[in-house]
Amino acid sequence: MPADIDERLRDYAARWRASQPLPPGIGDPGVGGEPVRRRWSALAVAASVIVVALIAGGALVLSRHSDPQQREQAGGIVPWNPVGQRLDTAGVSTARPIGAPAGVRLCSSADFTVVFGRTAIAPDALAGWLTTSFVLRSTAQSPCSVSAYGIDVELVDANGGPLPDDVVRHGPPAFPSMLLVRPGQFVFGAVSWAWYDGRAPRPARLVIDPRGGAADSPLIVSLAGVSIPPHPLNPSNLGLWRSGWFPQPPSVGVPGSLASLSATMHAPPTVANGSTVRYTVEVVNHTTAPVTFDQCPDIVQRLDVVPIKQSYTSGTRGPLNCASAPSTIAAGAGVTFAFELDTKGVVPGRGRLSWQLVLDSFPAVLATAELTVTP
Amino acid sequence: MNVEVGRPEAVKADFAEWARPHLAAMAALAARMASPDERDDVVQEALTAAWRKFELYDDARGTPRAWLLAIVADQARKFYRRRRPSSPWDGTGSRADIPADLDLERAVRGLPARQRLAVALHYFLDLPVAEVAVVMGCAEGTVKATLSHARACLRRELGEDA
Repeated sequence: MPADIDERLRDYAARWRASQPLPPGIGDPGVGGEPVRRRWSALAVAASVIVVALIAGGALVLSRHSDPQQREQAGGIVPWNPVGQRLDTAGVSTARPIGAPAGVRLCSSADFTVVFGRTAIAPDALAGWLTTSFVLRSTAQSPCSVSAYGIDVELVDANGGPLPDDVVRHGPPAFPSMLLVRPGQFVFGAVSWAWYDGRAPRPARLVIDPRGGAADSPLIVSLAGVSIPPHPLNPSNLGLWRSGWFPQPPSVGVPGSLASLSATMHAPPTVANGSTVRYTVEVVNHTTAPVTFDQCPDIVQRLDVVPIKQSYTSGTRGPLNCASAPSTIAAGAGVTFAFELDTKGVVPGRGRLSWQLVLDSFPAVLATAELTVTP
Repeated sequence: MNVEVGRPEAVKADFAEWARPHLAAMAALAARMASPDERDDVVQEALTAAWRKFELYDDARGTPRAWLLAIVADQARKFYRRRRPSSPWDGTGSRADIPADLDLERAVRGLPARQRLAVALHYFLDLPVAEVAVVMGCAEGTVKATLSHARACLRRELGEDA
């Protein structure tokens, strides 16, 4: 009975396809694919790492008098209040600089010294793609601010000639991009790049200019001795791919400030493309001082899926539902907030859901979770 | 910003964006034609080969997907030839979540290479016969005959040829 084996094949093939999750970010639901992560599809991972790096906010100093009422509400779930504006996230990310606070000057390369620089194949990355991580320490005498996306980072050859690149020198919108750096603080950064052997001079140094202009004495991270693997997946992406940097996590947050809170996101592992992801964020005050919401912060939430290079994003920004939340989070207490975000504009793939408290255009508390958008 | 790498159009068009919609299909075919351990390497090598041969692509002769899948098939063959006899792949795979039809899976894996490719493309990638023919570089009638032979082999192997 010829139809039997044909039918059995079709049935088994359909089940096989259904069992094959699409590679991260690949929106071709007509054909299944393995979760090929080791090399070629790991661009998304590298991109996610960098996107998260870009939004890991700096310390925020905000000390307010507390009002301990409603402390007992801690532990309940503050409902989602769908007030806010949709982020402009069409296509490739567009810059939306927030602007430094008044009186804070822009940092220059003279404000930093390179204390660390290391280049390695990015975890879970495809052959040929490397990540150069660097740490700068502020040697300035006064605070200054940097734009997370306004800096200039480029590879140069042994003669100092810049290598070609297709780097996107602006970052995701909506998250505050002006980062406050105080004297002595560290700034962490990472750049992903690839080199096509034989098609361009060998990169010798990574040049960093925090101001994004022609620095008199740019910061240098040497690439001497870096082993560059052959056969990159995508030689067309020659040179730097995407760059950004981020300041140290807000571990220096002053007790009583929003930055002293910690946040944990509880999100489902998957969400169907086109549907709404519902998640909660538990904000806990681990310090010995109460934290008040007498100035209601904004929350920024976004879902990023980065298949290759281009980020597909859905996000909103709006005020936290302070009306339903306790005005104070006592020392040792926590509050759980509910949130919703649609997946409009996102493609199937492995992504990252990010949530952040923002006050006065500076980031305070950040929480993220891995999330896969299914076809 | 760009550098002469292959034909200029390739740079402008951005090979990654061009190939990206077809990566799932490439991964699926690699999964069918290679062992789980080799699948990623097959895709990797196929993409590299595709980049190198990009100037040879002629959209008048087939879709990008068909062209890329043909390269995957070719790379999978090379991997198959290189596979060490001491470590044959039994075809059962290593993923716990693949629906169990081990008899059929083993039988498909045991088909001659051309038949296995035709089955993979037509059934597992759900391609129409016409596109299978482009990938395999043969006539549609040949694909139909190959699929027919494959089904006959499977029926024999599975004891359904009563």
